[in-house]
Amino acid sequence: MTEIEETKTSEVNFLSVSVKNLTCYRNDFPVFADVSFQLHQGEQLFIIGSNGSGKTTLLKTLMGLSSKFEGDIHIPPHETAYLGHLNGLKPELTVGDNHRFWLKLENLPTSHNLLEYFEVDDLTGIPVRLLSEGQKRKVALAGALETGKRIWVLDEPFNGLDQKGQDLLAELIQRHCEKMGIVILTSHLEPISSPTRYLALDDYR
Amino acid sequence: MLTLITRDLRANFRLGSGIWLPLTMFLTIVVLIPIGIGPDIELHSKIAPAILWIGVVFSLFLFLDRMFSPDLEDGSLDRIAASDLPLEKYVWSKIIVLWISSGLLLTILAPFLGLLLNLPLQVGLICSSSIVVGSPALAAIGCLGGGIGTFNRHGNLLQTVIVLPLSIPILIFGTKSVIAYSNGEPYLPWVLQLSGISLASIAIFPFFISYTLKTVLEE
Repeated sequence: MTEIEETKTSEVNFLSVSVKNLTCYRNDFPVFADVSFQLHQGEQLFIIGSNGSGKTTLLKTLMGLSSKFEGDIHIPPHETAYLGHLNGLKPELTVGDNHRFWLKLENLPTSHNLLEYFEVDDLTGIPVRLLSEGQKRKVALAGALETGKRIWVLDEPFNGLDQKGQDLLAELIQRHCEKMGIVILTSHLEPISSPTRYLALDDYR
Repeated sequence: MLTLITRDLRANFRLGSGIWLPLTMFLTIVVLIPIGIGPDIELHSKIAPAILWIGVVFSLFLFLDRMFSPDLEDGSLDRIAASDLPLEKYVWSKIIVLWISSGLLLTILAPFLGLLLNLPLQVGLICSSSIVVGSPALAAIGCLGGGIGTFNRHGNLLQTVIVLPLSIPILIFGTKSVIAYSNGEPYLPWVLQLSGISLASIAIFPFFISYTLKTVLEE
């Protein structure tokens, strides 16, 4: 508990995420129990586990979307960008409309930097329903990560991406960590980026 | 909140059905009921306010199932709930969007469709004013129904049981205001009561709805 309080007082200068003795429940049954970790600036946590091991539940709990848990969580919400396993894009709107929406929601001006980075900036006038799954994922990632938040919480971010897209995302994550950001991501695949920390949720069932 | 309203309105316009279906429903009710009754113009004129108001109620409740479920299915709701925006503001934006894309358009159409029912234009305009004041409450009730539908996927019955009784006072006050004006009685008290219900619904229901949505997100 002392450790968590110290983190809170120094969060202005020093970014960190801490989870202590976290047990999450689904329909009153524990999904995993006693998970603890602490992440500091520049660190990347790769959460692995089989289907149903609670990867998404853990991320949702971190983001305050689930209250069925026990334990202590400290994560600065205003510093955190979240992208779940769904993209959050409106199929009838264009790529540009969707991208602009997520930036405006954070009171940010329109910027196409990450659309360019993921090489989907030429699709801004096309309705999202006409895109492939991989293109949709790139647009969603661009909208979530362009917000400039220092902590990225990403659920299966590599899903649907082609090899080049996966390499681009892995490089982006690496660069974010080098800039003293924190990345927490889940995957049921082998890590594509180079995480500094691992959490195998199957060990906590 | 303006960002959310703009996005949903734009999506509604691009989708087309979000705008045209309520209007078609309204037109169908206003045209079909008099045909069913027969060519009694006096009777048409007498029941015109009730027909217009029933048309408004059904048109506004046309999309209860699609109120929040698209956002839940495409992951928008997750991302919005995880953002700094309070969920209540998100719900308010949904009420406003429903009101603009249905209630406001029906308000504009009502006096002209009233003419089809032999309702004088002046009375039609009073009907229109009662709709503009009462339809925000219907939009809030519609969103409540939408929230319940999302919470319980087999909750169509629950939706009907909650939504329809809540809309009855609005239907009564709305119709009464027009009838009172036609009879030369004061109609303003009815309109004021409608506005009171609308204000209370807009202020209170978003908290229930956002609680429901939070519960859905936890599942």
